[in-house]
Amino acid sequence: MPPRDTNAIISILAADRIGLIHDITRVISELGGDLADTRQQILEGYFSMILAAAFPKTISLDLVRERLSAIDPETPLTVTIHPAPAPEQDNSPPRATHVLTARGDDRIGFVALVSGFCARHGINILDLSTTGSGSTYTMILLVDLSACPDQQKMLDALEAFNREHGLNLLLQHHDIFRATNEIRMT
Amino acid sequence: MMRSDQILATVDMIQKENLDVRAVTMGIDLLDCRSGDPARTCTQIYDKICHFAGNLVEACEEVSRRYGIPVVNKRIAVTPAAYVGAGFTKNDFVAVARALDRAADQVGVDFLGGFSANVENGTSQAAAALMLSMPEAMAATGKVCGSVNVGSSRYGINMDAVAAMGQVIKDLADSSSDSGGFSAARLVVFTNQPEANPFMAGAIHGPGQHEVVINVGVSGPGVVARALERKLAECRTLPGLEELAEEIKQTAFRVTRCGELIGRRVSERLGIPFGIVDVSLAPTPKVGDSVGEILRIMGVDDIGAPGSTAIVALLNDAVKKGGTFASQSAGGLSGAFIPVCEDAELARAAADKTLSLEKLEAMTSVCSVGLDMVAVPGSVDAATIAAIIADEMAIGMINNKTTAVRIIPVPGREAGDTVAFGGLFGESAILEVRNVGRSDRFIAFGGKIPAPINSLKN
Repeated sequence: MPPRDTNAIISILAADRIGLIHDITRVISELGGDLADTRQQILEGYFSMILAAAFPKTISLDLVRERLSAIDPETPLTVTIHPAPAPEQDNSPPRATHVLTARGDDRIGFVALVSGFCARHGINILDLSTTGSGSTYTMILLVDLSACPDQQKMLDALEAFNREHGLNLLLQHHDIFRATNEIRMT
Repeated sequence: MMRSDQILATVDMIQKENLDVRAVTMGIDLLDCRSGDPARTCTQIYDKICHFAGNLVEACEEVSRRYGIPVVNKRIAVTPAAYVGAGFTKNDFVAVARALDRAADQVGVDFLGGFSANVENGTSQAAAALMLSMPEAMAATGKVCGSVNVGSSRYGINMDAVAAMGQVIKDLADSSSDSGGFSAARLVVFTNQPEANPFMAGAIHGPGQHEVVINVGVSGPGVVARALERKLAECRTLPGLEELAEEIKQTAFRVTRCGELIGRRVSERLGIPFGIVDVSLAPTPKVGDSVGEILRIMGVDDIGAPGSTAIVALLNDAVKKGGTFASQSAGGLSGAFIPVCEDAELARAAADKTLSLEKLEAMTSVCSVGLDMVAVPGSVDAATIAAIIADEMAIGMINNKTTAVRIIPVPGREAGDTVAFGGLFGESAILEVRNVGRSDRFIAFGGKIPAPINSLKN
């Protein structure tokens, strides 16, 4: 393989259609791009994908953007590309991953309220999904507590936050969910 | 990231459905504490327990906080005292019980089990002395629990020991008449007693175990009840019982996994091997934490109505299947408990007289323990209690299963009166015992019921 020192994070937003992932990954492979990691979701008919890829040093990121944008000439994809440092071998200990669930009456500012709590207490949100059902709104957050300075203080604040806003926020260790939902016990 | 419905189901299990780890029990081998001098033995027992269990409560609380799952009881099980005190007199065993109680107090556990003997094939001098010491030993202690294994499928039933235990139970109840005979609730008589079992009052650290070990008992009748209700609500047509059994099995899987996770983390934290997870539906008097409620959901309007035994059989088996798939370390009693006082719905059935002692006995033939926390009139004599024990032991012996009797003849109360023991021990109406005093000649024979045949099974 040629040397790969052009690492990029690519974000793509487009109206969903059949064959979109094939077209995107075909263009990347034609440019010699090596995919490291991808996330893709569809929300209300819109396709969103984020990819980490490494390209040969002869390939410029402008060329990548140009080729991706040209996939659908009539409804161009919204493509954003950021250069990224080469991924390092991750030898760090497992992160303090927890699942935070937030449930309460649907209201404007629900997500901002909960994410504000996270920001104030050093809780990094790794993954977030939300659903509404009737008048109830539910947020499920995969969070990392390793930057939280004082977990007990944060848990006390969480209880007060629940009372103050009439919400039900519950923080549980990620291991609990793995143990109860995966066949293999780790 | 997992599916959101799986995440929310797990959250509800912990937050709304009374999932907890009922007991983390440290098993400690005390055989190396033996010496010819009882006082020295007591000192060594106290020191060894304090050495290993000194951080048990703290470790459980730390792990419980980290995972957000309550660990309701922290307990200790020790080598049956009759082995440790071979050669001791009755008074020496009372001293051993006091030493165990002091150690339990010092390390802050709720209960300590193992003031126990195994007499399945005959009664040693030490076992006889220990059994004789029980009324005084229990009266002198607050946290010590005792058990006597009087029979097994291998050896049969030691009927001399059964008769002796009838009297011991009466004496225990009479010695604690101001608390409704509560001392009798700290004693269980077994057939096929498991040698590693985290649940009281029958927890022991039997032979063939690690020097020190962490065992864990999970619970969760409320979780099973809610899962069944959801299943029934979402089915457009009435589901077959096999579908309900499947729901129980899957729920037992999740409950077991939570328990094993907590147990293993406590074990890692203390640097002590993990032993078994006892997958049991152990009810509490709390509303929504009842095995009786599961019986109602599964179709009997009154607990004790025909069909109750079949439901317990299905429930007990489904719990075992889910638990054994979840954990390679399932052990102990594993199944469904039906302790009358400790289960609000069972206690109500006793008060309403829909549940009789005889029907309860039938249900115990397919549950995981036996006649548990059953309050009977204080006027019931020792021989009749011994005969009740003999019946229950026979069920265990013939069916190759554990059976147990924890019965409280409540002094001064009669059938239909109520007795309250408080906390997890709950309260109940006193069950009628029919044909009192009609088994004296049977008990007077003594000797043994021989071990059963293992062929010609019908």
